[in-house]
Amino acid sequence: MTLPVQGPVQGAASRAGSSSIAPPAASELLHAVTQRPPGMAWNGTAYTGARLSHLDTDAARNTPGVVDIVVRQDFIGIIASQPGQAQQARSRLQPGWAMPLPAPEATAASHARLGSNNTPHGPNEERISHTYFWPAPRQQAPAWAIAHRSGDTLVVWTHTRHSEALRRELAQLCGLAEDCVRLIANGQTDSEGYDVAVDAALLSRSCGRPVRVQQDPDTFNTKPVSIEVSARPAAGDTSQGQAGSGNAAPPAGELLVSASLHAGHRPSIAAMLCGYEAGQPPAHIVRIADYAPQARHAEPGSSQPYAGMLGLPAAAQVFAQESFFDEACGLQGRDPVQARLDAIDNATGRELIASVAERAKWSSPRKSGKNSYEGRGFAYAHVIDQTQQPPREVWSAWVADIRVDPATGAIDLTGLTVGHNAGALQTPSAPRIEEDVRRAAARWLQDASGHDSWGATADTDFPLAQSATQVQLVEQGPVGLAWSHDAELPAAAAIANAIHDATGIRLRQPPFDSGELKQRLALAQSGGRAKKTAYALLGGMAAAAGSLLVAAMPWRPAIAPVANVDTSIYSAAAIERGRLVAAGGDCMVCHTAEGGVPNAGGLALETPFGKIYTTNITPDKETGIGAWSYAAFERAMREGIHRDGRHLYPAFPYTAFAKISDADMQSLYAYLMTQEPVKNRVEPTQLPFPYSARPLLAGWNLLFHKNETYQPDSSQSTLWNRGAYLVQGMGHCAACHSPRNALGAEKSGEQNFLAGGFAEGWEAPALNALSKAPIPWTEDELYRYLRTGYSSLHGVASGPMAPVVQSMAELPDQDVRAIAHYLGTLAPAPSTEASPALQAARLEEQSRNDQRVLSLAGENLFQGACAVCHDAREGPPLFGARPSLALNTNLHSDSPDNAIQILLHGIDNPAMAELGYMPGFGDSMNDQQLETLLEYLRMRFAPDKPAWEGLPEKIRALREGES
Amino acid sequence: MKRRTETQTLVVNGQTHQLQVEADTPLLYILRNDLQLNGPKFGCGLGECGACTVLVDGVAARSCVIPVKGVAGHEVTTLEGLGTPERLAPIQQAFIDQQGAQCGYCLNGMIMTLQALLNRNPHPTEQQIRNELKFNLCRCGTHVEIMASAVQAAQAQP
Repeated sequence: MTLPVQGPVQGAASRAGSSSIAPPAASELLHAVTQRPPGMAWNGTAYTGARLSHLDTDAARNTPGVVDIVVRQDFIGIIASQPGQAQQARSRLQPGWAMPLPAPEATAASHARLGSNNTPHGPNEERISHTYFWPAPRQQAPAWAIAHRSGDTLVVWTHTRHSEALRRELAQLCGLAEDCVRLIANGQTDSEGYDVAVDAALLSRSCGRPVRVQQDPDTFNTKPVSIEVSARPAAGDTSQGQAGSGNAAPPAGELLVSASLHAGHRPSIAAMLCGYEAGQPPAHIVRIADYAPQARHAEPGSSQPYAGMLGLPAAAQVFAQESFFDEACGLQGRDPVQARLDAIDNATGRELIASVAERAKWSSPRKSGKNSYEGRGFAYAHVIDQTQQPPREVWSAWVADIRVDPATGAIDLTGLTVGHNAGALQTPSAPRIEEDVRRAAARWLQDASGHDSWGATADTDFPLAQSATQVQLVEQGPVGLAWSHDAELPAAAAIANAIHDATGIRLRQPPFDSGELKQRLALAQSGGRAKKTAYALLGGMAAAAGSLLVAAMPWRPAIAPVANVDTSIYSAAAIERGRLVAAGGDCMVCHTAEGGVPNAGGLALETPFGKIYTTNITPDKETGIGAWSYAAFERAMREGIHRDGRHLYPAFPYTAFAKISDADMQSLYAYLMTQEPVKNRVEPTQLPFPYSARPLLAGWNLLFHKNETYQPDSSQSTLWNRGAYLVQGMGHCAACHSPRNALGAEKSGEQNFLAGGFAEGWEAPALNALSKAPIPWTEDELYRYLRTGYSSLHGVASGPMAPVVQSMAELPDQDVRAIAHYLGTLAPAPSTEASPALQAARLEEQSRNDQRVLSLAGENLFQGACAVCHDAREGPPLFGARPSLALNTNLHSDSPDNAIQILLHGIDNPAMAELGYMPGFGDSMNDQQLETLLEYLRMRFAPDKPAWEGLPEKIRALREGES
Repeated sequence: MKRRTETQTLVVNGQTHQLQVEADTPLLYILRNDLQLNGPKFGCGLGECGACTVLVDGVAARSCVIPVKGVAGHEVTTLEGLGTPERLAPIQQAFIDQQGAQCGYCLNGMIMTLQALLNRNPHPTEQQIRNELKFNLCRCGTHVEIMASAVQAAQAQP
């Protein structure tokens, strides 16, 4: 039974560390997290963001497991023996931050407009300034780093694309020679560990032990890069530059990258916060007319240490500068192509631009009807790719022609004229290049609907239906058309400029969402709005009437079984999308019996009407859904009708699934039908009369079911709509979290939506304004809870919520963020008077000092059974989370159900293994002891709430329910 | 209900083991019954007394309430992993020198919990030692000797 696989190392013996390439053993590691200021900024030489004004570390320092709290200027790090303990301590820190006043010049810049003379600064002081956003590079996993400083050496395990710069910075910060700093790759090839590496090094230096730091889940992968470009008119009076006057100087621009947490144009965040100053003025000011951004980071020893050092993507830089150039030209009334030709000294660039413009017939007049919604845009890039030996220059110029459908916001690429010049000779065939060009452009267009696009994973979406794009390639120079990805750089800006030309609307963040465009178009011409709404209302009413007729039919025909479902027509992308829909809908949670095969059904769901057994949804022909056509599947999902015409009980949440979009529904079908069929006949559901009469459900549906897909609310953001769609649709959160009426239907009305309900013997707490959580939920805490199963301000996901969090782990980060965002708008507004940390400290203080409680009979039970893990300040830190009971939602709830459930059964299947386990006390405590303990817990940890009533009956009922 | 066994990979005292067990089995049972590591003791079975304490990634853990699946990917250290009869760990030597044992049943927990403390704080104060051992139960009353052992071990740290 036992097979030792390998066994040389004694865990504790490998402390020498630095000579070995393997990171220190887990038992030797300390873990750390950092607390960042709310607003960080870097002006190119020094940190200019929020400053730490005061910090109370006592509560955090007393958190069990904390080793040290390190504060250096504005840098705060918490070292503990486990990551969870460090996070818990962080939530107890009470830092105060002082926001810096904006510099006067920056204030002027954000308001002044080129060409207006009414500011007090005079024309030469005026600047225009715009911020552009670029999607953050995708990472598969949060970056981590381990640093071990011992003696005169520092060893760091991490992955960075900028190892030379990192080594230099670490040496400088730690006062070591560069050859005493050793970097070892940790195998994370697609994560950027620059910042965490410096965090870890600073903290290891302070405690002399190996320290591991991992990027917080909410700081990776989510925030777009922001790039601020501002320009001052060049010498000479350009504020009066005239259209077509070839002599006016083009706008000189400088590129400022705001330190929006992106690793770009700045040292590490830790170094910034420690007061590190770059020795030289910002080296990244470039003339906007003909710049050569360093496409890859600079060579070590370059004279401009921070120019592009951390790899602001060249594409982001080109997008920002080209959009800006176009905007500036627009304000001056100049033609962007002509302005560029006037400004460029570089002959190759000039020739390329001229020939692309000629080929695209740039200067020939176009029909410019006010409502044509056609437009064209120009963009140019000249970059140096330093990863090549020798470094290679690439010039590229794009003209994009587009048409916008004002009704949908859909952007149609009608033509692309692309010229480029790169110093390489391989020449793929032209059709292949055309395809690359088309793809490079289409990448920046996003589907209109937004709420059902799996945006964070673009490859899972269905390709956009585009009409054929005319592609013209311009050959130039002797090198021919060797395609280089750097030649794609101007694509996004060319499209943005064309959209502006067509609609007057400037989009500053790719990919360009047609939903957003539609919204802004509607805003721009809100005159025609009322009429449309009225039509929409009429249409909606007609549709509703139709569905009433259908739904009221008590008997529905069977849909003939199909002999074979041809699954070969489903693309891998559609199946993958369906997998995400299934994960978002937690299908497996209900359709898998305990210890059974996933999705083969057979789980008994306890309902107030009797036991309902879930069905086999694997594509087995006899016992599963293998003979279901798409029509049958969709009818079941949207209307709750079995293929054979039987009504399904609404324990199957078709009331929510009806909201799923067609594309998602088809993908889900594709996914389910391509899984392994499993023969498993499940026990039939037999409810007592009258519930056994399934045709009665026709009436139920008439009363309570609306068969409509989700309609986005155009007054809300795309993120909100995405969240609402996931929550109300496949996520079917309301199935548990909304109260139900006597007939088992979710109560209607806005105030009842997610107002808390009961399911499977557990209370599903209110998520709306009725939430009983002692500290109001915020978007960030919701996100943390849904992503990790634990919020140190509220508690752990347990009971039926644990598998929901497990299933949700499959969803892209952005979707979990969207759910948290939407739910955050429903939750009660957070109290403004005290920070969550302060409220937490207050609640814990109250719970500890109540002498009346400490003399209760439950004190002994608590000290014996609970305190070792749940005493907030005393006792040893044990492996796993250490949830604070004073903040626990279950103890503050009106009903004791969840507290009883957890005491009886413990937590044996936590959402994440790292959270740890809790033993059930059902077998070792009798009802009387449980009651005593519960009374004590309520009185001690929720002192402002009344005692629970009817505890003995509740305990008995829930204990019997288990068997 | 039919219980399913599955292969669990367990790293204990630097050795990797592949075990065919039910994933919900308490870690303590596996350590004692399958791996014959009898340092950790079965006391209350509810994580209350501390006799079963082991280290998981260097942090104290009550092995009677952690299922074996809960330590996948982590390193477990038992009393046997601290030292050998020939080369005792300083903490073990201290308990011998100071006569820390009466019946000795709780000592595994005392020693492992203290080792976890020394891992994160090599020079704890007496108050910190008391706080750390607060939830380790000893019913013979050797608390004075246990404290003396702990203080000696702390002084022996580099």
